[in-house]
Amino acid sequence: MALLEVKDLKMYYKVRRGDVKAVDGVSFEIEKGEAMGLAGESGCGKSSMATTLLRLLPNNGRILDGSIKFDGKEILDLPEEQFRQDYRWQRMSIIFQGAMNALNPVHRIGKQISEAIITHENVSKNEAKKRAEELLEMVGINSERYRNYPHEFSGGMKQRAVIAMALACNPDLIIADEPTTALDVMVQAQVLEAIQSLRKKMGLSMLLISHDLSVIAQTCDKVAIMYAGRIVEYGPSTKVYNNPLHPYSYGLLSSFPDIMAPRSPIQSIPGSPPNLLEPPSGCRFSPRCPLADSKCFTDEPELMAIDGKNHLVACHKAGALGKVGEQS
Amino acid sequence: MNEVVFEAKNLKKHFFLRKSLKDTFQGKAAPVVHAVDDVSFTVKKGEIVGVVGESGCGKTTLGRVVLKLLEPTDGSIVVEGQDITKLSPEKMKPYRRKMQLVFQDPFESMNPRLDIYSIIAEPLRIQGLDKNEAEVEAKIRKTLEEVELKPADEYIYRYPHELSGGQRQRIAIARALVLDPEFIVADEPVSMLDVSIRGEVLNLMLRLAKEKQVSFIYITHDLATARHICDRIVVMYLGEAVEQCSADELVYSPLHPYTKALISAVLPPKPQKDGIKVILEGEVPNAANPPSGCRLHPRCPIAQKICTKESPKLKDVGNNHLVACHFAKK
Repeated sequence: MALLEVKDLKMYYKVRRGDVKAVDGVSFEIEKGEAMGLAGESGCGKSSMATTLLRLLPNNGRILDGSIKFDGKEILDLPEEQFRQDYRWQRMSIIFQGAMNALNPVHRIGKQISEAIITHENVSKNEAKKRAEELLEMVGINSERYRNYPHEFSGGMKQRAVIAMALACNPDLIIADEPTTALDVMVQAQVLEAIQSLRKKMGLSMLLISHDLSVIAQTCDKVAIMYAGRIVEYGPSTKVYNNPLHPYSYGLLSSFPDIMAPRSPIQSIPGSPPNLLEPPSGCRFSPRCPLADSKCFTDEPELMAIDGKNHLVACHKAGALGKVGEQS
Repeated sequence: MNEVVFEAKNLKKHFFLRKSLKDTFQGKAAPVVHAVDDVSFTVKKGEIVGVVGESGCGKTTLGRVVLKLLEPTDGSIVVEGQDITKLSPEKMKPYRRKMQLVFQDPFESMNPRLDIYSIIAEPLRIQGLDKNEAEVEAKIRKTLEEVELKPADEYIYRYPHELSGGQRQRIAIARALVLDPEFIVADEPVSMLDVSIRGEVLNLMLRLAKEKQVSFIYITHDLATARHICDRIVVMYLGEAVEQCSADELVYSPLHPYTKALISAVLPPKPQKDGIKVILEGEVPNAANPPSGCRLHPRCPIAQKICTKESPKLKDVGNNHLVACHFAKK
């Protein structure tokens, strides 16, 4: 049984002009110990997915439909207090996007970590402090820096401290929302390596949210590509990366230049992502798709298994991708 | 293709910080940030030169000094054979036409109350080239078409907020291009854009360089894109140029340990078996107090005693491949 099972989840933001359909019928599963990547451009709903899972939505965000099962138990209809006590941080926690902003500048780093432990578990201050020091060591920060303030840390260290905070209550699943976007390449590699080794050591499952497909490629077992609030392609990383079947995945993947490849023009996808207030009818990618025909503009394609059981694609033209490659 | 349009010779830019009270009592000198330290490079006509490095390495400062938006502390800037380092602002004006800038953030770098026409016309007005309004309009239309915003009618009277990030960045390029400059400094022009549209803007730069013979200085942290559009790449670390050579040579046979680490830190776009490699530990030290000798030595895997004392000189190891390392060999 999967650790996390999300089915047909819908989450809209209510704004004056209507509903922003940020998450619109999304389904996926994460097994125990597995890492899944959720990739997409800005505004495709991937961060909303994270806040929906942890119920950290702003006031105008509403979950309309669907189910979220954690360890086999439906958690969507739990009362808020019970969810807070038993799930948030205890079973699943989040590594926030900008570590610079996720830490409180006027509190000591160690204090902020032990605070998370004390809030969720019935432990003494000293015990919490000891755990927090261990956590800092675990992410590669000397425990003597427990009493430092965030401004005394470099960017990479702050991000590590945020990771330590996410691990404070031994969760089963961590959601990492763009954990390395604000970091330099060299520090990014260090932080990703830290996340990877911690995951192995603790048997953690992970949902990694990123716009950077190369980050997901190096860390995740499977990947879901999201476009305009829906998953358009979903499957094991090796399959999706080596044989993308959705024109959007194909385009996005070829937008990432390989540094070792011979010099060549960098690919791009014409147009820009749609407004989620009124997503295009039919397939949401159709206005930008080089393969779209009349059917694509009217019928919305379902996520279907194409190449083997576990590689799913939502595209009417999923078989015809070779042609895109020839054109470009 | 061999005509040199721009040359930076031993450029330095130091920022003098305020002395702390403690330093004053101890009689210490005010701390100095060596943002750019002894950087030289040339840009030929129609060439794209990449300046690559991590944040805080001085690449943005270099871009500003090159345009004389910041006065260099030392060294000289030569544009088309003329040394412009000491020119007064009035005498600079004709040279300003030849050197333009594209900013990082297309959302902040445009006046939201001006339409596209006014935005692109502004440089012409500043340079006093707006005597004939019909000519101005024709020039704007032509420039819009050059940056592939076609037909121009559809864009010319719109406002920035009506355009997407990629389109705005094209407007920024158009604004730089309208004066027919010799070279354009593009400071992280695509880092704010979505991945799927970065290619459009970069390929536009590439096309302009080839077809219009406009040179670009492309400042970026992203070695992967630099490799595909640049002719030459300058790698910077803590204010110094540690290696420069052709893009192909840099990627396939890097000599400096920092360049090697930078290349290995670029994640391959497809899943690999061996996972993530970390060559350099730690982070970039404070530029106000750089390490002695070679600035990389505390992090360098091959550092020896000499590296802690002597700063290596940038030397040519053949084929115009310059590297500053005591142990770099071809």
